[in-house]
Amino acid sequence: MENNRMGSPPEKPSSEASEPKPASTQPASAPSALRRVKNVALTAGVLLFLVGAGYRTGAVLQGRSLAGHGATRAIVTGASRIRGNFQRMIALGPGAGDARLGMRDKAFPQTLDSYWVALNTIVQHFYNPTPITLFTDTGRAIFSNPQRMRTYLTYQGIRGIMSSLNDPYSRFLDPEAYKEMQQDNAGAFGGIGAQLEDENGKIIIAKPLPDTPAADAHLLPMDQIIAINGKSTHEMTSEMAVRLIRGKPGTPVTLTILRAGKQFPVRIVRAIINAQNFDSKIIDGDIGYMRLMLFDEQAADNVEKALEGFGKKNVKGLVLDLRDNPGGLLNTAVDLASKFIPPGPVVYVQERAGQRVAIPTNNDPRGRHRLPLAVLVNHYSASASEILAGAIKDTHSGTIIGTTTWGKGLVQEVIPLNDNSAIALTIERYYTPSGADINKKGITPDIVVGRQMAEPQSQADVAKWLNERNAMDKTQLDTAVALIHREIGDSKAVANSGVGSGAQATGRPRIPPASLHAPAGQKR
Amino acid sequence: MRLFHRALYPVIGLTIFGAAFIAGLGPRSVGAQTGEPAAQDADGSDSLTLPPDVRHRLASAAPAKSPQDFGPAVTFWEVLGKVKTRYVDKITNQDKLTHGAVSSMLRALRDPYSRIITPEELKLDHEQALGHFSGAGLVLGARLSGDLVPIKMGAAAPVPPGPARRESDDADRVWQLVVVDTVPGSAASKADLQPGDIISKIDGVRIDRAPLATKTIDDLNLMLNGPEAHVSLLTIARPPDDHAIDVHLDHLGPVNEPPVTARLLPHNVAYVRIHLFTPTTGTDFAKALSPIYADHPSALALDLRDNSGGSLSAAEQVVGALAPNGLAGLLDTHAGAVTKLTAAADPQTFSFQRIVVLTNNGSASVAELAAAALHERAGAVLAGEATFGNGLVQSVFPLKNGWAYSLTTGRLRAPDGADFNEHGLAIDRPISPNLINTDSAVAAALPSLLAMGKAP
Repeated sequence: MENNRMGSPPEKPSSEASEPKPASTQPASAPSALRRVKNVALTAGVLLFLVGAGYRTGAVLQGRSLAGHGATRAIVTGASRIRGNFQRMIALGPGAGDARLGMRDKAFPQTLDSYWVALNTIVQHFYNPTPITLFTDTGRAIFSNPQRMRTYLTYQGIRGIMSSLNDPYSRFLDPEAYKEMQQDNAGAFGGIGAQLEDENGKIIIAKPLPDTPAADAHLLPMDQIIAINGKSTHEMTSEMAVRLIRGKPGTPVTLTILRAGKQFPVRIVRAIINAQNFDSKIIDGDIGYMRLMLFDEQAADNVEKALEGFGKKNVKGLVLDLRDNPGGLLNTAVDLASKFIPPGPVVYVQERAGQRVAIPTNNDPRGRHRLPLAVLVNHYSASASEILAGAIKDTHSGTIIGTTTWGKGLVQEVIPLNDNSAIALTIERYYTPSGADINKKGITPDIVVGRQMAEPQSQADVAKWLNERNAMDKTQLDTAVALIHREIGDSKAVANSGVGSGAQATGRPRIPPASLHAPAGQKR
Repeated sequence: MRLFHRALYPVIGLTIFGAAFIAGLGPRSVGAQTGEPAAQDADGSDSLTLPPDVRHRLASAAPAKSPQDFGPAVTFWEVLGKVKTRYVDKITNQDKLTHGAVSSMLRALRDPYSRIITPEELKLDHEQALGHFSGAGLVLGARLSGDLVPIKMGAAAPVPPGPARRESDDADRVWQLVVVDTVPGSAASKADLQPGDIISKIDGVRIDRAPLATKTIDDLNLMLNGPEAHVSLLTIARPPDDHAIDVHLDHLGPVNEPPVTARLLPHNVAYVRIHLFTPTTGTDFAKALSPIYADHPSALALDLRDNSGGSLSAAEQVVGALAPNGLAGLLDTHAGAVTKLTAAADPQTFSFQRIVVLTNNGSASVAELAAAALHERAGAVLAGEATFGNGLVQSVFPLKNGWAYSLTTGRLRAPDGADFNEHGLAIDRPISPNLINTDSAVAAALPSLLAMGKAP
């Protein structure tokens, strides 16, 4: 066989996909040398991160926010900001997919065949030319086990499918990421409370969150993490960094920080990061201020409780702060809208080739609140934030103040797959009550205050950037307060109607929030 | 910046098209693989399985070793179904999904030579394999940053098969875009680009520190060497000190690698220069050398400087013409298998008392293999500079509609087992770098090189 081995290779590939025969019946011998964990070849990673949609591992992204310099941002907290994330978890109950199961047989057979042949060709014939061992996200050497390699390559293939859709919000969640996403929603994570950014292959701390181990350890914005527990972060994605930083509460993690050219280790003890997704207070004597950081399961209750508190203190107007709120659950947005807008559609959704379907207010028994309302938004208000702001704007139930919002008009569904991985797939577009498509456009405030700021490019810019950002935030709030004062002056009657009255109670039960904890057993 | 001296893999180093390559490697185990029976359908607990007809189709395209191997395929198939039925937009271009999946899988291998190739890029690759260049006339390659010393043949014990594994710090090693060679007469050659130059900017635009992580080598090849290329300024980092140099390119256009040339030098020395191993180089070599051989030259100077490699069978023929019926080298493949490459037993052979093979750091791939084989089998003296160090072999597999993908499937070694990949070959008689690029100086040095006699 030596002679015919490659006698005269044809100059062109033959027209048919020639399936190479496996070179051996034995499992491929494992490259034996165990090497220290290095990096992940998350090829789809770049696109994945650019998204912004992401829920991944609780860490996710403010993709487009950083489009200016191609950086991305993840968050190392229990559960926290989920940029542009607006999705419904739908457990695939028996039958849910059945009607369409038949379609799958014919779903892109050429793609399936090409994938399969390429997978087998790679597994059986790839000769790793580099001394660099390949690792998966979780640091397992992929060539050490053919079965693992097949799975890893398949996941990479699926990531490729997802990125070929050119939809930043459709993405693949491997079993680990999917599990972490579910845990995130349960808030049961040990972390350090730092928001990470992924910039040209560097892992940067964008922001240590207040009152977290990260803040206590005096981490600063723009600190670069060059190693985690001694593992180099070179070419690591922020997703993988997040996974390494997280762990059991009470256990330590050592970060090697590069700051202003100096390198030093920082030992931090992980703690449960309580995502403080809601905050309320009375400002200016008689204005109820509510800040919602995420549309989580508790958001509607939190807002209701705050409103009750405001009612007792006889506030005269409300400020709802949705700035930097990346979104969350659709049902939560509908619940909240029901507190502020008249009965009717909150939002319209539309599947491919489907009808526009209105999602109506839910007739909250506790009724609608009629105090003068100002809603603060900025460029990072996305998804569910935009639904709520859009509904309030279109129904003239309040005044939107700030800068134009993110512009995410797409709905994803998280679809569990047979091996405990999942895909988040864009399945619907949505439109505000007036019919506006906000995708890639965002919602323009009634009163524009401030401008979209580019992210700081260097450590030196950070202080200046923070000052400017704080000043802008303050101007926006001041504008809202002044507006409400003006409205109170004009309409005492409205102000006296109080907060929390059950004027429109109908006795119908509230629609429960969508389950974030779809029982795994329900999938097919 | 660090020094970069490792792993140079010329684009056209060695490409073996899938069918032929695989056909030769397979027989060992075909028997055990054929006809994955549909009876193996019971793959355990998964409630979701491929329909029998789909599974049968896949099994006949690529037999799996065990039923579990179909597990990932079920997930992939499930995703395709969801995308088809649920995605918010109708998918009109199935090829896009295919290319997305395959290229993503290949990128995961972190090997710049394992990549998807567009029809346009494939055409360019084919042209270049024949020595027909356009644009800047650059032979491009990828190399991992880092240092290695050239391998001295015979000095070290044969390297065991498998990728070179070192405990050195790999974390900082990245794939970079390097110049392997320039085509004589091309814009790149006139601009004095050198083998080993690392390209850092194209027309003033910085390409990433690791450009091959974001672009394929074909993207960059098309940008610099495509028929529509319009690059005018390259910024390069030149080893050993990675000095940044701006290089202006003028008069881009088609240029061909020169054919095999031969002439008789003083002292009865036959001189043959091969710039590239194209599929016809074996016969071209014999044709060019025959007329001179009639004068009974005592020695041969085979000039493989700036030869970036090319066709393996051509190299085997050249080795065969000078040292018939023996090894031309070894080929390692995936599962630790080693294939012996034989020097072709050509009808026409040439015999010389002494042979000098001239190399420089632009001698790569099968040019290195030929030099090593002649050194070992015909006692040739290697003179000049250490070689590039590329022993990798790619196979190209077709997809539909003119697309294809390339996969690194093996590594060449010298007949004695020496691994020159990444290292390059050490030479017996160094020629000063100042002289190596001057043909007349090399010619002048030849008689004394030959007088030194055969290598031990």
